[in-house]
Amino acid sequence: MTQEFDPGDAEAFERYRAASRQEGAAPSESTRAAILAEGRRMAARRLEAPAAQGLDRKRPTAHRSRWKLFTAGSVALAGLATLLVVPRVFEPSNRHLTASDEVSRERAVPPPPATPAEAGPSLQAERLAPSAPKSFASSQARTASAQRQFSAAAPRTADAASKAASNSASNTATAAASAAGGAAALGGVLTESPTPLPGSVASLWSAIAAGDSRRTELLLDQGADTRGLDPLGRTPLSLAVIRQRADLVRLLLAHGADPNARDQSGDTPLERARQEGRADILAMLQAAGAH
Amino acid sequence: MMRFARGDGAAFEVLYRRHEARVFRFLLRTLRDDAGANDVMQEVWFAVARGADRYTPTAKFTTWLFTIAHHRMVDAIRARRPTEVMDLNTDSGEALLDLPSADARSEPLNALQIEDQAAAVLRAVEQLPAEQKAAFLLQAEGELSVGEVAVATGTSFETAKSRLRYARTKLREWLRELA
Repeated sequence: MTQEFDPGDAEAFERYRAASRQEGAAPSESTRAAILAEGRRMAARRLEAPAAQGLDRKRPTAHRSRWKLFTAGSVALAGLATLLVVPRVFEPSNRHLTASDEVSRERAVPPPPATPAEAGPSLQAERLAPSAPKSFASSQARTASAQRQFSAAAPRTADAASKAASNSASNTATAAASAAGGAAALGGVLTESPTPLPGSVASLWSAIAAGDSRRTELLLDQGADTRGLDPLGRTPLSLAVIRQRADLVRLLLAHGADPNARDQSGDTPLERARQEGRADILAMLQAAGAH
Repeated sequence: MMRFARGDGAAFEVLYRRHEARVFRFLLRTLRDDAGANDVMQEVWFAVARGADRYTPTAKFTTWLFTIAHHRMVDAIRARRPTEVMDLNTDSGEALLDLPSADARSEPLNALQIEDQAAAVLRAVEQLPAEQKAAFLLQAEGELSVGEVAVATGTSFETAKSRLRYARTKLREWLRELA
């Protein structure tokens, strides 16, 4: 791959294509007719096939293997999503809560009582949290009641009891606020996450392979890694060059993709561009510092 | 293709008209025989019509189509000339450089006398060794990438890359001589 790019590479293609078109080679009429007749025959057969399938009542649709696979996949996906989401939603730390959740939490949590006596009866707890859901209010009342019983049974200091009540109420409030916030809280957690979303690298490959420039740009804006290698050992930039997508190459370079990064086979994007015979991509890479 | 798989006969005709010329040119250049190209063309499209259920939209249609075309072309060459070397498992394209006949290089040179430059270009392509010619035509006619050429010819990426490189180098030299 030390050989320099020669415009002759592209010229060979162009001259061949022009000559080939000029020649105007085409299959014979009989070949064409036979092919088209076969196409019509197979299409007609396919039209009949689904009707016959529908009459097969011995094997319900739900028992077909593709539905079984689909169901198993959906259950697995739901389980995975639950495992990922539940620990974050019920996390005691309020690191991921949104500003609106903070406000609702402050409204829901009563100030910690200075002494166990100030905790008061359960009705007082309900009055202190008028905006909290009913279940949360009764939960808080139970917490205050438990604290009162605890104080009577064990002679601890007022400060310790107060701290216990405060922590307990705080944790309960965080969980309740998170649960009540539902999708909004989850959205806050996801949007506030400083690291790229899990799977964003794989998504980047998928977007480049599909030639989807809008999705590629979105993922790059979210911080998708431009240095990783795909299962075939190619960098995102190499893949974009192989796909001959000048727009994606420009996007990747603008988002800091290394124009000299070698893929697993040892080729640089510049060498890939030479192989593909794309002078415009080659120029773009050289302008970005590829050598 | 998905419409045809659901039984739309008109969709097949549209598909065929769109790719007819490119597939036929690929077969004509590799087989160098009009009658043979017509026979294989028919086989290729029969395979497409009968195998539409097996086509998955994850693969590009042209990659699938030209993979079938390449396989049928190789079968036809093997059936016609069993002694001809067409080793698809060769790891290196370099070893195949010696395959063309001794006058292979002189034939494109003789094309200088041919008034029709276009015919000379086609002749030069036809003079390439079989594997290099197939790889070149898959790119030129099928517009496949190097990776897709590797898939279509059943070789590694590196082998496909080597074949393309040697094919381009030779053509470039011949075209310079033509100029």
